[in-house]
Amino acid sequence: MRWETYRVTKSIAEVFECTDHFQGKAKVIAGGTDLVVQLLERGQTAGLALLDISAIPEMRGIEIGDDRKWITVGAATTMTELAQSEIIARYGRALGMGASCMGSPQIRNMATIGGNVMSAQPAGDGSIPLIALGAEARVVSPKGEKWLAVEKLFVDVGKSSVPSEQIVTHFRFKPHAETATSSIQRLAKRRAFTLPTLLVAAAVRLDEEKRSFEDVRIAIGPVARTPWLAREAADGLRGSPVSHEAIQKASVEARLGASPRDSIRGGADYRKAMVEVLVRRAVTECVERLGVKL
Amino acid sequence: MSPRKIRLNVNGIVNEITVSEDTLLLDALREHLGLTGAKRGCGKGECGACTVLIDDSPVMSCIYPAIKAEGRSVVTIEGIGDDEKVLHPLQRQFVEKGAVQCGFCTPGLILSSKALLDRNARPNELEIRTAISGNLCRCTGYTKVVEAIGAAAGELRGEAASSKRREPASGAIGRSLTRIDSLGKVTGKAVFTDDMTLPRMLFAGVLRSPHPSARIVSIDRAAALSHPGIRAVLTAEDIPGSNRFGIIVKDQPYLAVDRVRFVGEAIAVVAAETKELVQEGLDKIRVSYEALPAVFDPWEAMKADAPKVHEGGNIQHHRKIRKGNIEEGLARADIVIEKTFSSQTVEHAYIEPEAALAHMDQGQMVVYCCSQAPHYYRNEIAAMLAFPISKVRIIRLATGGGFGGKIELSAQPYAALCSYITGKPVKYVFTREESVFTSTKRHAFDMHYKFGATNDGRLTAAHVTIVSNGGAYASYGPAVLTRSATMAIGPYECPNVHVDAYEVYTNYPIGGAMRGFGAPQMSPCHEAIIDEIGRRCGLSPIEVRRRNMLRPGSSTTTDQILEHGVGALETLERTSERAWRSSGKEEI
Repeated sequence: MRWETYRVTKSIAEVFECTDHFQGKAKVIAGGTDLVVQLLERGQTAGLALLDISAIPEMRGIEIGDDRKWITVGAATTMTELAQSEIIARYGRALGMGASCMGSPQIRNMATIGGNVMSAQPAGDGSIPLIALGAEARVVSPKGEKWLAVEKLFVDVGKSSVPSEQIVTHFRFKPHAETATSSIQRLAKRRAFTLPTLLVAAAVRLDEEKRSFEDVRIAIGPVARTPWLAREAADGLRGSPVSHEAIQKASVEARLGASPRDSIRGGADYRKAMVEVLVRRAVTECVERLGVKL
Repeated sequence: MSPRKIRLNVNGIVNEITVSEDTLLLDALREHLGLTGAKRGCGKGECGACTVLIDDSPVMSCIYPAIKAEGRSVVTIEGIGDDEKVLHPLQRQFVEKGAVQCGFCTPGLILSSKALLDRNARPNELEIRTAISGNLCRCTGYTKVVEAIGAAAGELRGEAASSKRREPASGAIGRSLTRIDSLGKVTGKAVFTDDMTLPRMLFAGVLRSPHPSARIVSIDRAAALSHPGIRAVLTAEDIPGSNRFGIIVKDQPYLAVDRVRFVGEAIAVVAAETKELVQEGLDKIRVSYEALPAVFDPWEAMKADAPKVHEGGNIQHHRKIRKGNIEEGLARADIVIEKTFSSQTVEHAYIEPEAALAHMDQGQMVVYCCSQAPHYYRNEIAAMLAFPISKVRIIRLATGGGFGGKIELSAQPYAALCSYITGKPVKYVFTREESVFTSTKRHAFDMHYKFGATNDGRLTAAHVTIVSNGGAYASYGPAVLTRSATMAIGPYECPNVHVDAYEVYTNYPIGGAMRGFGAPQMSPCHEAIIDEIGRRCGLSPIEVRRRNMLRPGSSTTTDQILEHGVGALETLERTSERAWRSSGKEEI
């Protein structure tokens, strides 16, 4: 026996009812591509009740509001849906790129963006782009809800700051403006079936003349126990003219700030050196997509 | 946990089945509905052999809870065309293009491709490769698979079939044949061992050592027999005949006696009415170990004071080749090149884990299994059961990849022993972890090379030392080693050859047969040195090889005079000619 109850829930309210009913034995499950495998490997705590949220209608899908202020993504939206979404490709490009690299096609059809964030890995193919996009997560409890910056949801490897009786139902981020875009650079041993050796996502907004950087966010993993926002590198670019030199300076800044470790997917020194390369490529790609010739 | 009734829409038919809360879709399909076209290769959502479509999208059914599939449309390989008349174009093209080999991954590949073609009528090669990137195939190399998917897309668009192969109008020679068993493999009907069941069948599992080297102090199996559904808990003393096997050296026990020599070594076997009870039985066996020093490095293992893996010493085999006079050959050389190489262990990773189903039929032990060597299995199982070989029958079913790994015994003796003792059919299927822990690998080698050559690039001497990490038991190691020694200098002629090859016992996983059988470790070494000789002599890589290659009349490392059928030189000339032509460069 791997779990005692599997409940496919129909609404967020039902999830809270069940959480209450199973009294600390309930665990929310979405695509299950991590959790089911973990339970198959490790066995389980007695009485475990899995609450499947992957089919809750209000938690699925990608929307752009009428005022174009926010893109909202249901936490149960699959990685395939993100990878194939035209809205994401246009207004949150890095997220679609990241989603399309995760696992394998079958896994992407099952896995959700909410699961990718809640599994709290330091280099999630969904998490890193979301953080670069400056996304927020809607955290709901029976008592209310709040929007938190996605980077605030990570405490440690595999450990989320969201308590088990609360759920993340949606993510939102500001759509790319005319002079903004985002991109990822993913270094991995293979194209399929593999976690990244290094994943960099960059979101770049230029001024109207596309002469200088107006806003930049760069998220990187795994270079720490949680996804890392390279603030100094991004801050350095803000306001500076669009140039190779400025991008190079930021890339070096990112390398100096990163503290990766050795793992089977790559050595610390190699990863550190590649931070500079991938940050440079990611920011350069954004700038070039915006039509700037460097 | 109470059983639960669910309604599953599979291939357009709604079935009501009773499952557990934790039943996985793959098991619901295979065990409850008898749809065995979806396979279990890893059980962890990695390999893609279990792929089915849910609402037209491929998913890994081995990690998909069955309950979650309720209210959705499930499509399996059986649902897209199941006989010759109604084959899906993908199935037909997989057969036609030769995209089917072992067939274990084929249903998953076809389903992933179907999902692609349903939404993209004209996929390019990258799109095809991405669509099947979640389906591991170890046989085909994907080329023909990609070709077949492209051809099926064309067929679905109503385009005339692409140009047929050029074939003779009559006669058999030069004619392509359709693989005899491919139809069963594209429809999911081919029977692999785990697809088979027999009435009142039991399941088996093996307790394996967590230690690389330990003395077994005691085995207490009393607690494991507490449940009536657990029908047998067997250790070495229950084996009626010989507890030693091995194709060349009979050095390996089926069930450990007194000590274990590698992580994964079998200690006890449990037969029970369900897989869950097998696990319960295994969990309740108490083994007390006294850890012993282990040795993993073959160089360490060769030292006099190394822990002894076997009583007779750790050098399990020493193969020598002496031809001509190595000292003279080196003295005559204008150039001497010396290099050290090492190669790693390689796992076959066939997608079908090892499996066997054994039962007694009128006094004869019948074992259905995946296998590359049924006759060897028959002889060993007969000896284990103290049967005459005429009373053991091995029936090889469809085998989901082998690459040399399924030449070795795996699940068969345990299924046979349990069946013999319980009188029931017994099925034993390895988990992926068991497969990786216990299968015999390509040996890791350390190789020291010293070649001498004249200034015009001709070999005068070849001195090679090979140290093979044999792991805990011999398996095919001595034969692999012989091949390595005789292939040590590649397809080249050298008058003075000195090879010492050592197979060394360690507490590492067992080395055995794998494609190429000892030759692949050697090739990068002799080729690197031949290149180096070419560079030193100012000869092109082709020319330095041309000067040394075996040809009719050459003498091999073992002094065999080759008379005819020596293809090396012709292969070199024809491939290099083609390579130059396609590169557009002038030959150097």
